[in-house]
Amino acid sequence: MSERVPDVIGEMIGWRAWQLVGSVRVPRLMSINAAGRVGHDDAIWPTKRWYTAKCPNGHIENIPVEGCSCGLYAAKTREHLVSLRYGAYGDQAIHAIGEVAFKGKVIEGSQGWKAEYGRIKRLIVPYEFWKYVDPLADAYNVPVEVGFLFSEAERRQVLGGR
Amino acid sequence: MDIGEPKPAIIVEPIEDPFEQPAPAEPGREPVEVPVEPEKVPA
Repeated sequence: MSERVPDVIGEMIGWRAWQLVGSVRVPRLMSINAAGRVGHDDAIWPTKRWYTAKCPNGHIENIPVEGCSCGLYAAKTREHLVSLRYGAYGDQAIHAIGEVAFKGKVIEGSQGWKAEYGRIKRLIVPYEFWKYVDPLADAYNVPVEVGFLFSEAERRQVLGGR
Repeated sequence: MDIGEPKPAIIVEPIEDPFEQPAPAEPGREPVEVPVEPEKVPA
């Protein structure tokens, strides 16, 4: 990493969704659908270091590898995250959404990001998980808000008008 | 997640690294993650 000459000084910002795991006392955030690809431990975002992408197809360097599915993914905007049908409160358990910052090797797509390293910048959890606000803020050292992850209009959108 | 049409990869380096810390005073005292059990939070 230190041997590579950066093209950009700063961080790339995207939006992600997570599942809560652990307990109120020790909450952690796990990538949606990632546990089956990289294992439970590797799907949990760490609190004191950058989350490093691992490749489910065996690549061990230069991740995200072009043409491979590996890498940390994010939508470019909250609106784009909603359009991907996350947060329907129904078929997928989404407990938090928020901003992430990426560093290292980053591939920008027309709709999102794939990256080598990521960290959480801020979080929004739904009202029913208000007890997790302070523990999550302490654990990840980021601002955590309580609010609707998705507006009623957005929920109708992702639920297909139901 | 489909990120759409990809551009060539770039290398990004933050101005300040929030996780960068001075070397621990004693070897082996680096911060460690607390293991958690999965599936403890109801959907």
